Amino acid sequence: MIFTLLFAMWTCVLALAWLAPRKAAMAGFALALVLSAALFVHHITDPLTLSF
Amino acid sequence: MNARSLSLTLNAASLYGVSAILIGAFGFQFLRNELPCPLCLLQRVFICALAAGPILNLRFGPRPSHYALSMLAALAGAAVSARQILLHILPGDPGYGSAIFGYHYYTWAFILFVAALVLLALMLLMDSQFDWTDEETRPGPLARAGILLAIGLTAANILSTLAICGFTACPDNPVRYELFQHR
Repeated sequence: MIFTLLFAMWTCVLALAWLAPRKAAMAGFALALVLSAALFVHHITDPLTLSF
Repeated sequence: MNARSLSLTLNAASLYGVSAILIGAFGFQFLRNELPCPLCLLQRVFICALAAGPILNLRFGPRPSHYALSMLAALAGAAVSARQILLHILPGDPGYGSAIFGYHYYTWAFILFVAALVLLALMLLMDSQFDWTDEETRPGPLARAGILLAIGLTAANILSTLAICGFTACPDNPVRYELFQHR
């Protein structure tokens, strides 16, 4: 589910880049990038099975 | 064609490149029924993120900060794909998914992210594209179509991921669409 939300967030970021003021788009990108990286870091610190 | 026009054309072309990669990923998912694992999904996320810089460049004119956004996305994507390569690097490990021309998807993803970094750095070398930074640009129909295609394919991944994972955590090794399973 969290990946579904992640794609939804990035869709919003791309839509912001196309429709919103520049600063809003940049801020949205920064937030989405930090959250995506945090998800990656959270998962790599878990005991892993096949690919995650 | 001046540097600014060339830059905008290349930015529009890059959106078609990102879209082609996402379409290719969907192709393997639906035609070969190879569902993406969570790390693969994260790589797709960063491929989608690559499109943010070109969209901003096409709308507000080329700026180094827009290229920086795409470079950060490429760097994060390269880290994720390198992680997956390392997970499967031991001798005897078959890797995840099938191979294309001898390399698995995540190896190709790593190559693509590094190539994106190199191309973005080369674009930054073109100084004269930044001479007009104050005016908002009006992208042509092909550029607009590229923007909508990239946004649409990112949105399509919402539905695809929802189908794969359902409303729970994504399986490590997905073999079916969890949303459509009746329990």
